[in-house]
Amino acid sequence: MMRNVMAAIFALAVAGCASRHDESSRQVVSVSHLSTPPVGSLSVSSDSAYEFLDFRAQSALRGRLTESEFAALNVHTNQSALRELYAHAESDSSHCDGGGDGYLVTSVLGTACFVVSAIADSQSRAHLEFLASLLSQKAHK
Amino acid sequence: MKIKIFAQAAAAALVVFAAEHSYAGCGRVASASQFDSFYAPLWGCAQTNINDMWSRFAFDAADWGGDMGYSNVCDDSTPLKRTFNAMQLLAYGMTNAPTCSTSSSNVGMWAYCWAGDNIDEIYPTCETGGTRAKTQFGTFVDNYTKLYQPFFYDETVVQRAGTLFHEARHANGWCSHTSTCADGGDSCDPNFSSGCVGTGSGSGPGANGYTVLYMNWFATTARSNWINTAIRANAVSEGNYYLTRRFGTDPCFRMNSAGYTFKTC
Repeated sequence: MMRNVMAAIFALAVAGCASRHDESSRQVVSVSHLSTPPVGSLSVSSDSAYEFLDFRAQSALRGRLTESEFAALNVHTNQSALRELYAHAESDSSHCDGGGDGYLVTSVLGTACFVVSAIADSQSRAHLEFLASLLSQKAHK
Repeated sequence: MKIKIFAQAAAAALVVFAAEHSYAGCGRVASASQFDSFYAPLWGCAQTNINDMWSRFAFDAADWGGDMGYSNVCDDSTPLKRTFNAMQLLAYGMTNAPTCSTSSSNVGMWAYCWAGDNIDEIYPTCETGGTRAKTQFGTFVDNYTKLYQPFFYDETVVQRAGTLFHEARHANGWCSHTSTCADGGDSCDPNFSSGCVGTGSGSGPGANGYTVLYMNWFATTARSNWINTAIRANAVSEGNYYLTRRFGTDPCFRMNSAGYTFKTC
C-alpha cells in the first residue's frame, strides 16, 4: 500500500514537465481571398506543405510546393520582402471584403489587407502578386 | 506563488506612467499589423485593469523591469504592454462582463479568469528558438509560464491571447504534447476531443484544442468593435493552422472566413 502511495506521489512529481510550442515547422504565410473566386485561404508551412481551403466548396486541398515554388515563396516572404509589402497595408481591412484584388496576408508580421491595384511600388506589388498567383494555382489543382 | 498577489497588486498600483519614449524589448521592432494599436485604446491602459491582471497572473515587478516594460507600462512596443493587450482581449473580446463561471460553452466568457486562475506565475524572456511559451506544472515543482521573444513580437494580439489560453490548459489539465503531427517537435495533441497526454493529465481537448476553441469562438462571437476583417482572418488562419498541423489525427473540420466550421473528411 505504502509502496503504491509513494509510486503515485513520484508519478505526480515527475508530471512537472514542460509543455511548449516546440514545433519543428511552422506557418510561413497564409493568404486569403474573400470576394471573387477563388474564395478561400492558402496556408504554407516551413516544410513546404500547403493546404488550400475552399470556402465556397467547403473543402480542403493539400500538397507540397515544388522546390522552385518554395524557393520563390521564400524570396517573397523573407523579412525584408514582408516589411516592403506590409508598408502598403490598407488602413481599413474591409477593403478586402469586396473587390477582386484584395488579399489578406498573415505572417510573423501579423495580418493585413493588401489591394494589388493600390500598390504603386513595383517590388512590393510583385510580392503580393506572387502570393495571389500561388493561391490561384493551388485553388485550381 | 500567489501569496505574493496582494503585495504585487499594491506594487502595480504604484506603477508610474513614465515619459513616453519608443523602444522595443529584446531589440525587436514591433510590427504595426499585430493589432496592438487597435486594442490599446479599447481598454485605455486603465490602472484598474492593470491591477487586476497583475494579481490574477501573479506578475512580479522584478521579472518585468528594464526593456520588458515595467517602467513604461503603456508603451505598446514593450513585452509587458503586449502581454496586457492580449489579456484584455482574452477578457473583453467577447463580452463586457467576463465571468469566472465556466458554464458557458463560449470560452470567451470565462477565458480570462480561468487562465488567471490556472497560470501560477508568468514571466518573460528574450530567448528565441521558435518557442512561444512554456508552462511547467506538477507537484513538488515550481509552476510557472514563461513567455519567449516570439510571443511578444511574432504573434498578433489574437494569437497571444490564444497562447495564454493554451498555456493555461497545460497548467490546468497537466496536458502535455506529443511529437506526432505535421509540425512535430513537442507541439502535438493526439486528437481534438481527447488531447491530453502525460501522467496525471486531465481529459477532453488538450492545449491545441483550446487554441482552436478560442479562435473559433472569437471569430464567430467577438464584440463588433473588438474585431475587423483582418483580425477575424488572423483568428481563422491561426485556428485552421492548428487544425491542419497540430493534431496526430486530422480533426476533419476547418473554419471558413467567418469562423464557422465545415467538414473536410
